[in-house]
Order: sequence, then structure tokens, then C-alpha cells
Amino acid sequence: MSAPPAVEDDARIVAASLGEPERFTGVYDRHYTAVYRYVSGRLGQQAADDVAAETFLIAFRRRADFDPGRGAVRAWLFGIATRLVAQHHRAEERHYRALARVGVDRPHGGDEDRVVAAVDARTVQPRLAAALRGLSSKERDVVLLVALADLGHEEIATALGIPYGTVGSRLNRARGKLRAALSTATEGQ
Amino acid sequence: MDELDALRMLAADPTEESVAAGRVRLEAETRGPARRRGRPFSMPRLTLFTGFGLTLVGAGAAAAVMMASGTATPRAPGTPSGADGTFMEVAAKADLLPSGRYWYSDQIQGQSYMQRPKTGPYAIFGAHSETYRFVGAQKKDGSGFWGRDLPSRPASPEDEAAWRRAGSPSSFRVWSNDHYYVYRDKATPWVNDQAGQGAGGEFTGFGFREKRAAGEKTTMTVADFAALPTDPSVLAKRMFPRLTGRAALDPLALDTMSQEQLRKLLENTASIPPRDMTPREKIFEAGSALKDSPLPPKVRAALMRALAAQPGIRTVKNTQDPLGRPGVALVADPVKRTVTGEYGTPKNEQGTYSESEELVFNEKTGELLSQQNVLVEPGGPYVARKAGSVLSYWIVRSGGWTNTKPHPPVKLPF
Repeated sequence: MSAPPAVEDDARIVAASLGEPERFTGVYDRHYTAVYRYVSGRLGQQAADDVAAETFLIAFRRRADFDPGRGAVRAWLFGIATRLVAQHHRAEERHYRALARVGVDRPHGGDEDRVVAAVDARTVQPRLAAALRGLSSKERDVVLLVALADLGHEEIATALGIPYGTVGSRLNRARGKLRAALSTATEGQ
Repeated sequence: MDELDALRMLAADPTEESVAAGRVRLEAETRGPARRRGRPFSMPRLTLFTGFGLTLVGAGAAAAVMMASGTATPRAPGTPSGADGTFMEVAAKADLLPSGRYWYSDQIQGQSYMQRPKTGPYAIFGAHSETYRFVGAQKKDGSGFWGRDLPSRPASPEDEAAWRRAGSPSSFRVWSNDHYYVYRDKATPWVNDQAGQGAGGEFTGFGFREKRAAGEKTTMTVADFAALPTDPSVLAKRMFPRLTGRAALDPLALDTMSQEQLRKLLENTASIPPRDMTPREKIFEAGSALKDSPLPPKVRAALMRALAAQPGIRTVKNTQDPLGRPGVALVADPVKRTVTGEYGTPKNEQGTYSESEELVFNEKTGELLSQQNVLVEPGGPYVARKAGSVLSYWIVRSGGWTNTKPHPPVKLPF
């Protein structure tokens, strides 16, 4: 992932795309990978191809509504992506179910860190996926925007249209439940 | 590694094809309004990237919270069985199941929801999906995982009559956990989930509560399964251990525990009193093993015997699973559930009821047919339902060992 692009540039590209629509591909080039990573963590890679692309189509169609005074382009995009993920709730549920069964198979590199990470993934991820299924979707939105999208509390408040304080309380609650569930058996598998 | 680091590992980078395909779609969109009427780009290419994504409608309940919502269809009432002799005969049948090159499991998950039109309430099954998984006995035989949505449907003949009175709607708006969702009467095609693809030889492990809690590896090989004890009492010790530390947290209590209470408990897990597993937890534990692990016939039979012998679990004869297949059930003592107004749950979905978790077995073969959650005392969201209504189910449509490479069936189960 590249470093987060400058906020002013993003906003300027969106504004320019009102007159020159093709300029909007600049937003895509800067943010597609980040949006994809977020969506792939929630829906799996196959669905992420579609949903990440759809995020930018929707953003493009609504670009006139983007208000830089209310936050960065990045938060706006993740808000759109999160609403799309909500429409694919069943795919999300099924993805976690698949992970809960099998873990993620990643290629092992020679590099020891990667091997350790892969071993961790095989043991932790099934439990983690099961634990995610136990969160409310509102809790999942917040904790996954933090973990997968690297958004700050302010950005999440903008993305989801919720008060700043609510972000913190949902995040605490979600993290507490994940910690607890990671070490207790989950029901409903 | 904390829970946020663990979550980060779920994300994957896009392939170059993904980046290119998304950009093509966006470029087509930016070329002007004409593109929306015709086909903006070549369809064959697009279909490559149509996953669960855009073909899906509505949304689903998290299965982990299944018990927290839903309504019901009556299952056959069944006959209580005092002595467990009958069930032991069923368990003996499980001893005879065959082996093969691939192990597969075709499972159906459904959750019932209440509809409350003016013409009279009825229940439907929504969040209805089918998943198909196979794992080869050996590494080279690979593994796979598919999923599809199944049509929502009225939960019973009575519910179907009420559904007709309501004008036979094709979509259903339901309250699920913390949102309204809309379920429809359409199926979607099978989708191959890449998360399920990989090598064969490793299966979902068995009776690993402690290992799971410790973060250790919980997959098993065919050889590991073959080495499992076949004595029911030895197996029971492993399967249903006394719970200590974090593992002793009661999952039902977590539903209603405040954040502050939970934090205090987790800061000092030694303060959590050790306890035995509840009958309900034993049903879940055994149900998972029977559904998701290739247990050798003798182990499967021993597990069934061990479960039937547990306190708080009774046998019910002459019942059936949601597909109408006759069977004999092992039923856990009921538990009381309360749905609160947290997460904005509407008033008519709140309240207290009791339910029990049960496993239904094929009497002739000893195979697990279904794990289901059944209403015992109507109340709260299910005040209008009859005792014995199925609130949610996890059906094993078919499964076991085969020598032919498994592939999901085209035919819909209902």
C-alpha cells in the first residue's frame, strides 16, 4: 500500500472531475488498493473485485455531492464501500464461515516472518472469523474500518455519519468482544 | 499479536486483473450518459469479476447471533424416550459408514423471521443459504468451498396460507440483529469462495476448545482422526472438558453483559469460576464435530453414545428434520433467551422466550441430519408461535466420503 495521498489533491481531483469526468480515474488510482483491501477482508477476494469497483462507480456518480468541508475523499469512499458491504451481508457471513472452517491459505515464503504469519493465520483466523460473526454489523463496520482501512476515529465518524464518541464506544465494545471470543468457543458454527 | 493485527491479516491486495477491470468499468462510466443504456464494456470480461457481489440481494443474519432472532415452523413433536437403548442402536449404525478419497459436506442454513401484515402474522425462513465443502484425504486432492443463497419461503403450511392471504409477496422485510433486511424468493448461482480453496489433507479439528482458546493449531489429518479414542467415556473427557479461565465465560451471558463487566472479567480471568459445559454447549460442540469433521465410524458412534449419556440431554424419537427426513433427536435442556432494545430492536421483536438446541439423526444410518434450534416456551418475538417451532436450522443435506471429486448439486433442496 502506498502512503495516504494528500487530502487537498483528492478534493481537487473530485472538483475537477465535475467538468472533466475522466479525471476521476485519479481517485481510483490513489485509493483502489486500500478500498479493495478493506472489502476483501470482509467479503473475500472474489466479491471484492466487484464491490471495490462498484464503490468508485457510485462515488463517481455522486461526485457532485462530495463536500470537502465534511471530511476527506478517503473517508467518503470508505463510507460508500461500507454501505455496499452492508448490502452483501450474506456474502460477508459466508466468507467468515469459509474462513472459520479452513483459515487462509497463503503461500509460504522463505522469509521466516512470513512463515510465522502464515502459521498464525491458520490458527487465529478461523477463531477470528467466528468471532466477527458474533459482532453486530455496526461494531464490525467500526473495528474493520480501523483494522483494514486504517481510518482514524474522526474519519470513521465522517464515513459512517455517526458521532465521534459513538466510534470510540463501538470500537471498545467490538475489541472487547473479539478478545473474549478469540478465547472462548463460539456458537452457531 | 492483538485482535487488530489479527484482523489486518484478513485483507488481501488486489490482483493486477482486478485493478485493471475496475478501472475499465470506471472509465466506461466516465465516458458519458450513453454508456448507461447500452453495454458499457464487454460482458465476458465483466462476468469474470461478478462474484457474490452484485447478484446478491438483501442481507443476512450473522449465524452466531441466530438464537437472538427468528420465528418458527413446527417440527414433528416426537416421542420422549426414557431409556437410551433406542439411541444406542442408532449410534451403532454410525459405526458402519464408509470411507473414500474425498470428504464433503453439503449444508443448508436457515433462520426464521416473523412477518406481521394486517392479514395476519406468519413466519418465513430467510438468511437461507447452502454451502458445499470438500477436502481431499491427501494434500494433492485439494479442497473447495461454494455458497449460494436459497429462496426465502413460508415456514410451514399454515404460514404459507397466511402468506397467500397477504398477497403472496416475493420479498420479506425482516428485523435481523440490528437492521432491517429484505429477503427474496430467489436463489443465486453457486459461487466458489477462494478462501475455501487449497490443499487437501487438513480437516476441521475435533473437540479442541482448549486448543482453540490457547490459539494452537486445530486442524487434523486423516491419521489424527484415526488415532482418536473410540471409548465413549474417554472421548467425552476430551470433548466436554471442564472449562477454566476465559473458556469458562458463558457465551449466553456475553449477550447481556455490559462492556465494563466484560472488561473487568477479562482483566482477571482467574476470577471466572471454572464450570462444566452446559448441555447446550455440548450439543454445539458435538454438532460441529459431526457436521464438519470426517470422524471415523467408530469415533462417530462413540461420540454419539457419549453425548446421549450426558446429563441434561434427552432422546426424542419419531421426529423429523426440516427436509422432512424422519429421525431421532438428542435434545438439550432449554435455555431462556431475552432480546433487549439494544441496537434499536423494535418493540415487537423484544422479550423473553425459551428454546433448546437439538441434533436429529437418521435412525437407519446414524448420520447427522440437522442441528436445529426449537422454540420451547413462546414469548417475546415468538409470542405468536407454537412450542416446537424451528427457529433456525443447520441441515446436513448430504455428506461423507466419496471416491468421485465432489461438486455442488444444481437442484434446490426445497
